[in-house]
Amino acid sequence: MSQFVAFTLVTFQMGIDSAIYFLLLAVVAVLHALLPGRRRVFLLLGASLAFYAATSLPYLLLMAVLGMTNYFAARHLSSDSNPKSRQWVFAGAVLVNLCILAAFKYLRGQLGHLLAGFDHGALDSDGVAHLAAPLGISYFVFAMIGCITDAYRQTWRLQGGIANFLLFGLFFPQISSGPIPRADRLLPQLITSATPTAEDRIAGLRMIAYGLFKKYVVANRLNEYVNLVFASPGEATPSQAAVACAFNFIQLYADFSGYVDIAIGSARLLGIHLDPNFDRPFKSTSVTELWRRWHMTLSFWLRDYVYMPMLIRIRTLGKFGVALALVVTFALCGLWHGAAWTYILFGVSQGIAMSMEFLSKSWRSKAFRGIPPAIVAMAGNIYTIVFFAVTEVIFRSSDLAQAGTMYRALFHWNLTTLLAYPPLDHYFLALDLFALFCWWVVRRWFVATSTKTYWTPWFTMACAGLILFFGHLGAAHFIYATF
Amino acid sequence: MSDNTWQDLTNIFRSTLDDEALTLSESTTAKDVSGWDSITHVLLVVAVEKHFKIKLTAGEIQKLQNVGELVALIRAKKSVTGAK
Repeated sequence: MSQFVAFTLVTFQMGIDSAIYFLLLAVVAVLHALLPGRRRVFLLLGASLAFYAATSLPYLLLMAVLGMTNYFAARHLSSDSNPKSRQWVFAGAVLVNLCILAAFKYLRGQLGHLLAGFDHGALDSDGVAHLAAPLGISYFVFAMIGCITDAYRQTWRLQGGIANFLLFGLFFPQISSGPIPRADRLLPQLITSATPTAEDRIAGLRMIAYGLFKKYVVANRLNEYVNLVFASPGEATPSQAAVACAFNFIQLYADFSGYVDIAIGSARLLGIHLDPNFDRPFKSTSVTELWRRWHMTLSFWLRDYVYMPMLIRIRTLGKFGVALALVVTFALCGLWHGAAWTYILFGVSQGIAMSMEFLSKSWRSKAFRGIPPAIVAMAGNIYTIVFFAVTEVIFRSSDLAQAGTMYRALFHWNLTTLLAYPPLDHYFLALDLFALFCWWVVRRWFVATSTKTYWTPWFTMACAGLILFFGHLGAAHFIYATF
Repeated sequence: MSDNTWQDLTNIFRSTLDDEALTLSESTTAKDVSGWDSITHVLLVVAVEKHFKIKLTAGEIQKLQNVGELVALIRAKKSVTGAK
């Protein structure tokens, strides 16, 4: 047991942007091309187990046991027709997954102390046990609950053996932070293990290059300015707070969508199509639409496994039931990010906005009847972006007090504060604005050359060049890796 | 009864989704109809249950793929209610 604690307290940070990850990906991509189709699943599983073992061996065993438990539950639910036993297996499997998630995500302090009881050396000088969470536990557990529920609802039947199923949960490009996979879409691809086409390889390479550019050139650069303002929000002027607010939103998008591009691109190199996680969220004309374009695999998961079952049960409440289900679902969405009031309040604010949009829908369509749709859409777009950027302040803040100070700075408008100059730091601001200009150019290039394969080497080299000369390397880890 | 079911269902969809020009066919899915999303889906179910005086189970509601399946489900439920 003391070994378990020692191992888990010292876990390696092996991110999806690390050199070891790309070395592993390159070796796997070459071997994948050389091996016959039926052996590829073992190659991918071996690589995924090795990747996980490099972060923590005991946690790999935990995930493997949890994965196998879910496999046998899914097999039972796919074959047995006795409603009573199906109900018990379904409830038991969901409960096991939720208990593991709760233990490592919300009760980690207590769990750390419990385990450290066997090894006093595992505590630091203040007597605090810093127990690391298993890599990707939230994403893994959600994937498992999703397929167990589908099997119980009989909308999906288990295919393939235990190796395929474990690979579905632990597939190394997606294990760190998703996209949260759906068994009906990913498992058949893993079973077939088709040879990637030339188009897959090119698209994969382009996405990895673009994702790394977003992370190092945009997200890590903006992070500096945002950190500076959030470190002492009491000293910020409204314009500085507003810039930090906007940069925070853009940084979060660049960081998470950059990670997702690398994950999806890596899988494409191996001929596997993962679900998209973002669909141009800045184009949204309502908060409701934004959540169909932002962290899509999480919001669709919540829709199918939390919101819909809850709403169906309280459907007799009518429109009030819809509003209630939205608020509760998004409060849980906040809680999924961590057991902190900041996350819960952020989630509740999204749920309330969506409820208001739903309840005012018919009133708005009558009120805006005479206004050109393009104007209404533009106003909706501005409202959505401002609302999301302002509420993301709570998400970023370490506690409610910090969020409160940021809001006071943001809305402390008078002639002196509004005309305050300089805007915090010329150097950071100029670099950030240049980073955003680069992103605008690179994105246009990325879209324009999507079907022109001969541009791929130039595009990849341009991204590499920008990262080397202008990127903020080795700065922060991916934000969503902590959830 | 089949003609009435279609007409009544079309009226329910039109009033719930606030679209008087809406037309339905057996293969119509949520993707084909503007405004038919996860939010309005349950409101449509509530209106259907109320109008046809039937009760759908949670599993039945979540498995519905298109309008044809909904009509079949309404007819099956109505025939059971009628037999009683």
